[in-house]
Amino acid sequence: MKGYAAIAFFICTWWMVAFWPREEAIKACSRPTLCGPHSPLYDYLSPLSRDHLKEALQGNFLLMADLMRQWEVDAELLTSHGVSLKQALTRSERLRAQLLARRLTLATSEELTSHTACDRLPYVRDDVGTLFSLRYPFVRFLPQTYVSGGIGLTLCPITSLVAIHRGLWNQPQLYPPHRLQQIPMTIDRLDGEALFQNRPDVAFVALYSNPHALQTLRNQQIPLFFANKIGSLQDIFQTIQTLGHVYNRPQEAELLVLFARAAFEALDARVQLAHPQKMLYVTYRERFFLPGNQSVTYELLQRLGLNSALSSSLEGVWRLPIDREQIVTWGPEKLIVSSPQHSQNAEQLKHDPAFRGKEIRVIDEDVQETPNHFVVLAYFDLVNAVLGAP
Amino acid sequence: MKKGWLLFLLITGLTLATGSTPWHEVWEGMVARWEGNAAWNPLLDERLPRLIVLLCSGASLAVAGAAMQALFHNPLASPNVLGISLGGSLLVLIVFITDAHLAYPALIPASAFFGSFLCLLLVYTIAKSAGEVQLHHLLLTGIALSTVFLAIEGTLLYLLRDQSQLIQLVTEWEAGSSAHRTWQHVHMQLPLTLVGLWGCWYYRSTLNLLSLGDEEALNLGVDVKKVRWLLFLSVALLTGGTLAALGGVPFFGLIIPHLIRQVKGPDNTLLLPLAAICGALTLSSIDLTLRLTGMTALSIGNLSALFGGLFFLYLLIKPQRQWVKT
Repeated sequence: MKGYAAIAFFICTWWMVAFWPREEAIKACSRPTLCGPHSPLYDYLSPLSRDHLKEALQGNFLLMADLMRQWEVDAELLTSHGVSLKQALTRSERLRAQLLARRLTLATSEELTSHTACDRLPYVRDDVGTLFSLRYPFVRFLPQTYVSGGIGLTLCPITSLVAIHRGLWNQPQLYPPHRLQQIPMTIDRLDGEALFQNRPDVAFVALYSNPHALQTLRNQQIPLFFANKIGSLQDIFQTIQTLGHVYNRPQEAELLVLFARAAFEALDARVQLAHPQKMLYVTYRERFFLPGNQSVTYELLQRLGLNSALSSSLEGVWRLPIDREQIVTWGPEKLIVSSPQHSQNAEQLKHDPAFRGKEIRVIDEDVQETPNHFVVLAYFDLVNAVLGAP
Repeated sequence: MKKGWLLFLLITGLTLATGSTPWHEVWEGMVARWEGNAAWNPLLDERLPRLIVLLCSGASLAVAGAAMQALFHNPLASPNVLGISLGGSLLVLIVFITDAHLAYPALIPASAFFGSFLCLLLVYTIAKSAGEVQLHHLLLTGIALSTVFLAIEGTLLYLLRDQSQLIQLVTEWEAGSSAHRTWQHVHMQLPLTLVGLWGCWYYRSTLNLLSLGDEEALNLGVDVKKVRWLLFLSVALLTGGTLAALGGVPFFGLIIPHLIRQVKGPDNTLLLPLAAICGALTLSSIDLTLRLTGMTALSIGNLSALFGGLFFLYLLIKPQRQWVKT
């Protein structure tokens, strides 16, 4: 018996010494408002709050217009101080955005219906080339994918959605649970009878959708609209516009796209004031990965000039594994780590001896990989990580 | 002997030398470490722990296989064939699901050990309930328990299939990859491996007697129950340590001792140390080959499962030979 106790003591002591928790407190870096110590011009720009941006992206059209006005003033201010800005929106597009925001918030429902009927296209083509007639307005929708679900939650009244992807429940930082609770079904395995009772007018699916779910929808003759082309920002904007027509919300979709483009422009303007620093963006899930050029994240990184030295190896892939040694060899001053929210693993990287002395910024991976208009929030987090004070 | 040492030095040297950092930077970092600078060094903080994990895992699996083959008097016994690894895997999976390992990393090796040990006891007890432990009883019990464990594991993963990061973590762990092994993995594995190897080494002569059968061993003065219990513990420690540090490496514990036995005979006093050395070197060589050829899409576990499975089939199909007893 003494022998067993000695062995257990030996192993437990080893583990206690090896894994005894360190005393260094892990402090999460919370930075709700975009800030940067790099240029005095920052003091004159409007505060770009993440919460406001999120609220607007969740469908607050008046806030969209308000923010766009502020960014317009910011741009004029920067230009007057000699900062050269690339304008994403034309003057007429800015005016159109203001007009749409006022119409959506002030017009009566009859007026809105009439405007919608004028703006809505008679036909749209989905991503597999099927021509979709929009002669009659659809009322009930089944967004089977993250893309269509996220867009539908922003554009439509919640009562028009009959089901939502279960994964959206896991992202309360983007989709408020109290809104999701009002949707009758969660898409897990589609229950044929429940689907029949809640019969949607159209289902938004993708080529990668669950084959059984597709078959169930087909069996009940529910029209399938394929929306799976989301490989770039342009694709996302185009998808929002197209789905807006199918959702019977073309004006909301148009405003959302104009707002997203304006937000990118405003964020780019702030990045221009930053001092260049050698930074690397990686995703971390037990292993490190670099986003490949098939992903939207890659486009965002290119926009910020991140990971560009490694771009030749990232051609034609979604993501590429990279090991700790390669990261250390490349020698970034700052490491931006995209990891699931509240991931202790990523926080522990701050104490990794391989990255000692380097600044590590952990950002929410769910937001980074969201393939819809919340890509604006993803870009905000990236810009915040780039600009963040050391 | 000299050739063996040369081979050992060649493989370990190449494993330590293979990496993307220029040598002069590695050297400067080592000198700086010597002078008290704690900066991360690719050789000391990544390649060296990886090598230790590979050596420990190779030795552990091979010795565990050899000990089990002697204990159960048959050449087809190994941690994987009898489902022992799956018992450990299941408990580790539960630890991963609960995220308990983030706060208490030692839970991974502890659960891998307990899972393996409980499964081993279960397989033996069920097989023994039909009288003397027969080869087919043992294998069938192993298959049945493996199926049950796989079913539970499959159910858990199915329920959690939306948690992509968990699925990815489990997939990579089950594939037995040596990527990103750190000193944490060494600390998880090394104490278990040291105790397990010591246990098997201590009873190497007794294993020869046990190979004759329980009754003969008893007549020769062996406390069969006690020795078997201690060897079970040792095998579980070796299997659990490898599961915790490297993940699943199926069939490895079957092939190495079997091949050595073909060449050197069934004497466990020779077989066990040879299995440890050959296992350690073979696993390190497989990893080195994958790294040098840039086959990052494959893991050690993938290759071991592929070749080990074929080898297992060969053992089943080839004309039956008499199992040589010492």
